[in-house]
Amino acid sequence: MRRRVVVTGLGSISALGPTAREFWSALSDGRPGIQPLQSAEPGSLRFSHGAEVRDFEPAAHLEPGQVELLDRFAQFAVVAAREAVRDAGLDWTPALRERTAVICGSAVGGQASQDAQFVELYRRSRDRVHPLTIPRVMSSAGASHVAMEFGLTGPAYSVSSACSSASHAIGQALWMVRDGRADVALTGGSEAPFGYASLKAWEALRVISTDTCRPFSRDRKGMILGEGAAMLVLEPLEEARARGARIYAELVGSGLSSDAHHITQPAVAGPARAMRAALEDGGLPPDAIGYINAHGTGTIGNDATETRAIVDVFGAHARSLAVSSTKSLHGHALGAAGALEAVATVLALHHGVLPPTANFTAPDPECDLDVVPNRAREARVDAALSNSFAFGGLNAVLALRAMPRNSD
Amino acid sequence: MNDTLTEQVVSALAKVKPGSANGISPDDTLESLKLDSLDTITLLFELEDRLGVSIPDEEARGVKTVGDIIECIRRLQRTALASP
Repeated sequence: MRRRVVVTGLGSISALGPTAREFWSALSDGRPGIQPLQSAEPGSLRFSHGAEVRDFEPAAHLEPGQVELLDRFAQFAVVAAREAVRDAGLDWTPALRERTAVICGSAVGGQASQDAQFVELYRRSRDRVHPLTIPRVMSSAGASHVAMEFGLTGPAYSVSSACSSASHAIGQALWMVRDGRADVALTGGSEAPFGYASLKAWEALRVISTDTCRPFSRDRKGMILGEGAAMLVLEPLEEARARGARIYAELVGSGLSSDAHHITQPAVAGPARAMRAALEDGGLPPDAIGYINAHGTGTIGNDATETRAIVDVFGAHARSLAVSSTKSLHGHALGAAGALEAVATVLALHHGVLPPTANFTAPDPECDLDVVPNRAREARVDAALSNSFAFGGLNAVLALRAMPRNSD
Repeated sequence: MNDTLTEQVVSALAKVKPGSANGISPDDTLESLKLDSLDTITLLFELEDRLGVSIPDEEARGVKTVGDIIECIRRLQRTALASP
């Protein structure tokens, strides 16, 4: 069995707003969500900015008992999943619930909850931590709470591959629906990495920009951390058509590879193989691709290496592709990044508008691609890739195709 | 290469990358000593701890040789002494 798989529901919460609609509005306006950090005292870190979710009130989304039970990362997962399910207009039956998969990415899970409890233990000399610490911290809690929210009893788990987590998750979900192992998949990623200890760990790694995130710019200084969640509803094309669902785009391929090279340094060969594998899995020739949502972290190393990998795969066609990094707008949300970027790519295909690389100042000869600087561009492209290349060389690329206009 | 700061750099280098500190000179590049970016930030972290300085990211990005590290720390120490 090989079924075509389409995206019929989207949900997102990020620094760009609490819904996918606001996410897209900020992306297409080129309006970054990067602001001075609220989670840390000014001057306590070598960097000062982040893409935090502002004004999030857990009590507005969750029952009183639930607020304590869920770490922020799992709260985001539930909020985004609700929006995606509502958007897809799914009509749950007991049989469908049993045939629905939940596959969520998260790189660090409830690290902030762990941090807070360990402060009690080590600094306040309490001899115990809260009994909900383990259920809050486990990085699979997002998948569990999403499954419980809708009573979904099919396969459910989390994927953790650092900054590729959500792209690995979505790719796995694609294959499950395509192969008939599930009839619907609710998939994406969520992350909430703004605990103080976690911020200190990022500071120590010296990869965070001291101003903002300027992917592919000559004066780029690094990444900006983000947080949030995005979830997608995947289902077979035939089922979606039969129930008259709105189809945003077709998810045609997933390509995975490992660099087997270095725990933090990027490489060219692994990402290039993942892009080729995604094209092959999706049955797309390289010249069908009109847009790539780049991994584009804004570090010196990633952006130059990713450029070389794109040129390696696409040759002369690399010059006619549009490549943008929406991390310049929503920050690098780690295990949620691939999901936010998949939503950005789906909506770019759906609306015929390519989101820009924001905060762009000047071209870098090492990144000599069309990076859609600062302003979104109207362009109907047939197919697109969404790249995720994690620390430790774990690469995951998604291939998507636009649906003909009359099937909206 | 025999002042205290240099000795600290040599000793930190020996800890971070065993074998790399033998017979080094200030002109040696970190690349020639086979230090990658992760080794370099680990070396700077070690030196910050030992010498009580904080090396800004901009400065950290600029160091290419052993001499650059020594110069950078010397400059930071001078600045620290100059301010009350």
